[in-house]
Amino acid sequence: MSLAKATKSDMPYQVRSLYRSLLRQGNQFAAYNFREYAKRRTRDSFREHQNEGDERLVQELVQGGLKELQMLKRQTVVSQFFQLDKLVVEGGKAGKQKGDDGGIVRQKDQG
Amino acid sequence: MSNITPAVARQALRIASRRYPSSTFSRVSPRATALTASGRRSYVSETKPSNATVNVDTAIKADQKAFMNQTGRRPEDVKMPTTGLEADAMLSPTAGILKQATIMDEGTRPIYLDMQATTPMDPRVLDAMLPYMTGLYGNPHSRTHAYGWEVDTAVEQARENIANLIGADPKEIIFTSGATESNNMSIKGVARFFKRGGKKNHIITCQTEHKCVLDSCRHLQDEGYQVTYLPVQNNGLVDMAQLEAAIRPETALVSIMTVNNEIGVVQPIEEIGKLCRSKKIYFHTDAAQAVGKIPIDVNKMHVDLMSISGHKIYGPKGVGACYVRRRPRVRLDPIISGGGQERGLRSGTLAPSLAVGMGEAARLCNQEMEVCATSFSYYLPFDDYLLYTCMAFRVLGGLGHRLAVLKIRRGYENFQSHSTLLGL
Repeated sequence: MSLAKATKSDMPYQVRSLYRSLLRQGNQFAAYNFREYAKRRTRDSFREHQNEGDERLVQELVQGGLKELQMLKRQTVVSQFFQLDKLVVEGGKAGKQKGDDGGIVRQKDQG
Repeated sequence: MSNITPAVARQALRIASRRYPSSTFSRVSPRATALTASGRRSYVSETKPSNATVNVDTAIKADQKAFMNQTGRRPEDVKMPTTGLEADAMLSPTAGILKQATIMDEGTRPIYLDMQATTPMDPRVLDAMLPYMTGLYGNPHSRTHAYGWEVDTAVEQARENIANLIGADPKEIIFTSGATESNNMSIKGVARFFKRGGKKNHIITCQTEHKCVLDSCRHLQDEGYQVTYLPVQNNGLVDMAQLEAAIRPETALVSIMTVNNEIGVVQPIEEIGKLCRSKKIYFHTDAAQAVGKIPIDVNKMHVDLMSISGHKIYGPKGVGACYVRRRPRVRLDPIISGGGQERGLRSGTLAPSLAVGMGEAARLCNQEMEVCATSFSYYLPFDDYLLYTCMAFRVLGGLGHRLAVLKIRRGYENFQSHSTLLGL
């Protein structure tokens, strides 16, 4: 359903869907800093406008979010093309992080 | 004796070759031997001269094959034939042992925190830049065709974004190659313009300024200008009384940086600006470290010239901007002369992708400054905590008048911060 046709009732659904896609897309960044920032920024800005009552403003914010989502889709691809070693604070080759969803432990290849 | 031995050996060989069939010594399995013994007829393959010659092509191919089999094998995959150990263990015994012992799930690349030196480029900035690096390659100064117009509008939009960030008019923003060029342009430009006029040949700056400001001033000294280098107080700030005392009738320019790049103190720019305005002296400030981190308004601060850097605000490297006031007009002698781009102050074709990137970075700064301010404010108690707990810990410069983000550069007693960093 296009956003223009979105009725009053399914706006919350649209917003939640946008939130999920933004988080999911942000998680695709290969660079740790950008990945974490994208997730944090998404959460913060959605929480900031959690209790927004003005419908027009919500519409505007959603439009902005959709633009961000398109940007994320392009930039995550770029990020995945130019990968570097993982940072010491994140997971190794497997890319899993400690503490998050039971991240794996793996043998480090030395030498 | 020595003559006899080979002869005996030869004889023995001859006897042996006659008496035993060759299969006895060969490593063929007993079953195969039994088969040949049971009377199956076999023929000796015919001799050809080509069998004796080496075919160069096949030899090379075989060599290549053998080589390719060897390549790409990492030491840990190779078993040494002698001991049965892996090759990396032979190369470095500890590595071999550690491989068995350590279980890690961490990467190897160190994290980067020195955001005063430079910042990574925001993905949003890159996203804005990419079209101008690929399809939109027009010259922004070309007025006759659409390729130029579309790039020109983007550059002007970027200029407006930067102007909004510092409360200026878009026409007052000059794109340069970085804050260093902006500083050089401002200081040398003002000084040389006034030298032409005749009487004003004095510049005031500060001892804690960035290298490019100090070095520009040294150059001007060689050209016959007077330069006063003001000392700073214990807290890193410039003493206003001292500054006022240093001002002479022939002073042309005061250059004090907004935020120090080493210790992060924020100078009282508004007061200095007011003082300079009242004495009709141009005021230049190097705001490379301040823009995007603290709110800046050039009109409120009475700043006449301001240097901004692109790569300190999550923009691309190799681009900066210089704010040059129009009312009252600041007159500069341009360092780079040429086609008269950028109000004739900085000739040369602009780099649209860099300019657009910097504009986008400035827009993001404007948009996110409050978000950052709230997220950085909790570092303050941590700082006090460090002061209380670490006896040998000393903050360089005072604790007040300080940019929260910039509270990184510190010295320990008897140590320089750089050597401490190297020792970590």
